[in-house]
Amino acid sequence: MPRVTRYLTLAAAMLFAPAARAQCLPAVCALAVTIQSDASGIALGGSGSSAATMAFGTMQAYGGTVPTGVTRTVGATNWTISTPFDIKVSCTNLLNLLPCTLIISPTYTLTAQLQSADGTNTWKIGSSTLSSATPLTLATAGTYGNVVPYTFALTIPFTEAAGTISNTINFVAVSN
Amino acid sequence: MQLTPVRHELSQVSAYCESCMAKQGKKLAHSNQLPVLWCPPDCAGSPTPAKAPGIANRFLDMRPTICVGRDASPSEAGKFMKKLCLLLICSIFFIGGVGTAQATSASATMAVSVTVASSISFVIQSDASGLALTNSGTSAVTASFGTMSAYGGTVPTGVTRTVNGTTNWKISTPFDAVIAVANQTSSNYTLTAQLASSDSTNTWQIGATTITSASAATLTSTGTYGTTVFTFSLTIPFTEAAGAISNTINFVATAN
Repeated sequence: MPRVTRYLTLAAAMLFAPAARAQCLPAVCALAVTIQSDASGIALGGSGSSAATMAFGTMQAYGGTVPTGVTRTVGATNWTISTPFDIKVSCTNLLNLLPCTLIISPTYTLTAQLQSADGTNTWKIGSSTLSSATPLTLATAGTYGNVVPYTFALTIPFTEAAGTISNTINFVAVSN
Repeated sequence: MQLTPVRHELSQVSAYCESCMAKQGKKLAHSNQLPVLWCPPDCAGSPTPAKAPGIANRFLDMRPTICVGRDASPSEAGKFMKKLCLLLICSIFFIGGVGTAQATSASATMAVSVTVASSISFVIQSDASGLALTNSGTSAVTASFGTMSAYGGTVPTGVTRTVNGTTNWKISTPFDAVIAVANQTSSNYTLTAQLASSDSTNTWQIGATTITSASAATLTSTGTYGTTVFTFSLTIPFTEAAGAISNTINFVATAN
């Protein structure tokens, strides 16, 4: 076998052998968390980026307008607005060799945390309550590249005065 | 033509190759971009020892030949090429394969905002002791008494018929008004009622209050939020001809 062929074969084997995909150095893999609108949810501002906005506009417990993709549930003492949204965690190889989804550890842990404390309203993702005190774990073995739908919910007590409610949810993905 | 890896000074190799090819009646073709040097294999070997080329020269010489050139047999260039290629492959292997994975992280933010407006809810529902309302529990219900007469006939469940001597007769039934307020500081509410169409023949009442189309009648100005039972009644004079009687009562609740 000509030397050139041997070199190329060896290089190809190193690059594409399954064992070689098991892990990769962080230096060549860039994690990215993007938030995007869910097909059944409210349209997010900055959908597909890592800095999205979810603006419900003006809403009220009774009557008024409910934005498309938003569900309003009125209870005896409070009301809840909820909508699905999607999160995608991807791992991109900086050297453009291979997607790190195949190269590094195939899973990630995703957490969410409120940026500011809110002692009045209840912020939830899925059935879990968010707080500013500690991060809420949304996934412990998420798969890179998968678009995962989550449901955001905000519960507002009737006793709260009218006005604007705002906060920021910080998501952090860590490779396992 | 084949690309030839060399580790000698380009000028030496070029001169040698040019001379060798000249003997064969050929002419050496130089690339505009050094160190691309096109030299036939039979003229690629240099009889002149390398003149201690520096690192820069080595890399310059190697650039076009890495792993794809054919070294002049059995020169140092070939061995050097082999080492370099192995180094490259090992580097790729290390970077892409056997490195120890460490936790990396990324973050994203989602700013959420909603402007909450105060609101009040008002629905009417069937009372347990009253006539079954159509669309009970909504803000647009219907109370259908069906066919009734002052004497005899059928009185619907939950409806009371009262005959006042020979003057008129009255049908009445309780219903529930469910009023709630959200995101507003309010201790009670005011409730008014008004007929949609005037009726100068019959008497429409909610509780003891007569309802007309002329103006809204106040049923309560200190209503307690929650469920309140009101009684609707319609008084029909005996002098009125038989036929259907219909109207709509518009209720308005205002948080105080």
